[in-house]
Amino acid sequence: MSTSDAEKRLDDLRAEAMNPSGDAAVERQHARGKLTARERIDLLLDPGSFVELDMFTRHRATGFGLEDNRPWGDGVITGHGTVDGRQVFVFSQDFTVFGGSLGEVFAEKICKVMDLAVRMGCPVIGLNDSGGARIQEGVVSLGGYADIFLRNVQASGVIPQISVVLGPCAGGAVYSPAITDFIFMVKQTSHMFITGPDVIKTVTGEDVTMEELGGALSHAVKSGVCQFASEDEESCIDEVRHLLSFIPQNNLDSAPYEAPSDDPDRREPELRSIVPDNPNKPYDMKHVIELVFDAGEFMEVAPLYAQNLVIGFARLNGHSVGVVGNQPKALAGVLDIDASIKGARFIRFCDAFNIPVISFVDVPGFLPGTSQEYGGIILHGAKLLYAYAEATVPKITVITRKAYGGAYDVMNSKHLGADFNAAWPSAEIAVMGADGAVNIIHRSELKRVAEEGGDVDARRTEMVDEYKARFANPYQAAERGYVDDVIQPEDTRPWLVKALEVSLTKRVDGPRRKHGNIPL
Amino acid sequence: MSASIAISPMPSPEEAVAITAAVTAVITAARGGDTDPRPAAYRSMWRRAAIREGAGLPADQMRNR
Repeated sequence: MSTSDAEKRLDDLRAEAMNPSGDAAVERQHARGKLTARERIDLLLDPGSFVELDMFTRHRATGFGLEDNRPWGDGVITGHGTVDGRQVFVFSQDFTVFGGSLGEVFAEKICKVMDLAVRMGCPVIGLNDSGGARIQEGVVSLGGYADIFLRNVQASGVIPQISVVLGPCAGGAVYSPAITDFIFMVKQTSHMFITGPDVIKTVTGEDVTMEELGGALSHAVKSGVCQFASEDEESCIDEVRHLLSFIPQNNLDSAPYEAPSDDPDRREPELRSIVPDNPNKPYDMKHVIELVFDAGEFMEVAPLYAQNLVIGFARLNGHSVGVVGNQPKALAGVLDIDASIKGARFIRFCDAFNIPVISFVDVPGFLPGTSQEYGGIILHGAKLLYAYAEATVPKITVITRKAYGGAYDVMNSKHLGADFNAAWPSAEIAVMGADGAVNIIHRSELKRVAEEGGDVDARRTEMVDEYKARFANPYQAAERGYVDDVIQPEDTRPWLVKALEVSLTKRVDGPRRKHGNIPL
Repeated sequence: MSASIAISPMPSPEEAVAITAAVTAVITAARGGDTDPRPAAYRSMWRRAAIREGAGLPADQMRNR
């Protein structure tokens, strides 16, 4: 074969590999409302940056006619490229090839890019669209899944791992995304579940649709499995790029720094009136966050799940930070099982990747009730406490209003190792609210007043006022140094900028151990 | 990421390139040759040690990397 023939053969093979299933299969993919694997990569990466690996791999399986159908690439496109100039590794499952099913070679390709991503210290992004295991390959495909799971675990906390589910992801396949740091889904076209509607109908008799069972909204609202639910693939992938702008390449790297777009000394007068005089009236903690951080930009994570706790990424004088805030607008900002798990996982991500955590506290306590107790709020609440306590990144807290009881301790209190804590003048740092406390402390006296025919309500009001004057303020905590300062709300941003910037060189060297035992 | 430089009166494109290069060189030299636009804390040995120790690596091997 001449050189020119060899070069032509390569061009022909590449052309074939670029479209292994033909135009009809691509049209069917589009008709499902989905992009092709290559179109998704083009959206994700900077133009012209993608370098494909293993284009010419093919499966080695025989039986069931597989030996006669060996498409180039084996149904998954892998390689590396850049997002805003930063290197990432990517794999994109091709539903047009064997329904995106995972076989031996398919898994080997994913494992290779995961190994490379860890070796190079780059994020890995998986674009998932797969019917599951390639049944014809038998246990080999199961082994392939486990090979990926092992790598997911080994890479956890070393490089950011992002899963984008853009089609089916069922059975054992769900566990790879589950181990990764963030899951993105698209409404109507993405589905994740362990067992599908037909099996559920057979086993439990329940009728449930694919979308109800494993759709983006189900996982974004109810299960908390996915953190981002988008309307379409384009906006979904755009969100992935946005997320990457806040996080570092690996656990030895710093998060991207952006030249500040906002005045570090900006005082925000609107904050002064944001907390209502009535302590039982809600306000929007997200609005507080937007007023404080650079240019009002806040990328909320899991906005539809456990809305009583707000988490997300923002920048403070150019530095990327993780933000955690109780949300008085939802369940009065109480901590419950879902909020505890949500917050704990986010804080652990930030800690693993050197992203400082800034907390805004307005928490009346833990949600009471048998469903919470039987559901293990003791265990799950401890996760949040554990996550805050073990984190060694800069930890800064602003108490805006209530910080009651055990929830005060849990929400990045000084006692758990917070570096800097401030309270607004409206803060109430106490064991509990005034009404509840008076009913306990003065139970006997109130009973006596009632028995003597006195005015119980008037006496209780006096006691509540006395309690508030004594405890419902930040100064008892300030006397003991549990908060470093009481600041005017409009000074929050300048105070936080100074606290953060002095904390950028924080160094904590704890005792050596294999790993802790977080209450799972 | 680079800061923008305003030059007045408006130079020709060639002059702008030359002036920008010269100003950049002066700024870089003033920073001890460091072209990292991030605040100095990011270059702190103490910070780097903290990150390494956080990952379970000995801080004192930094110089060997």
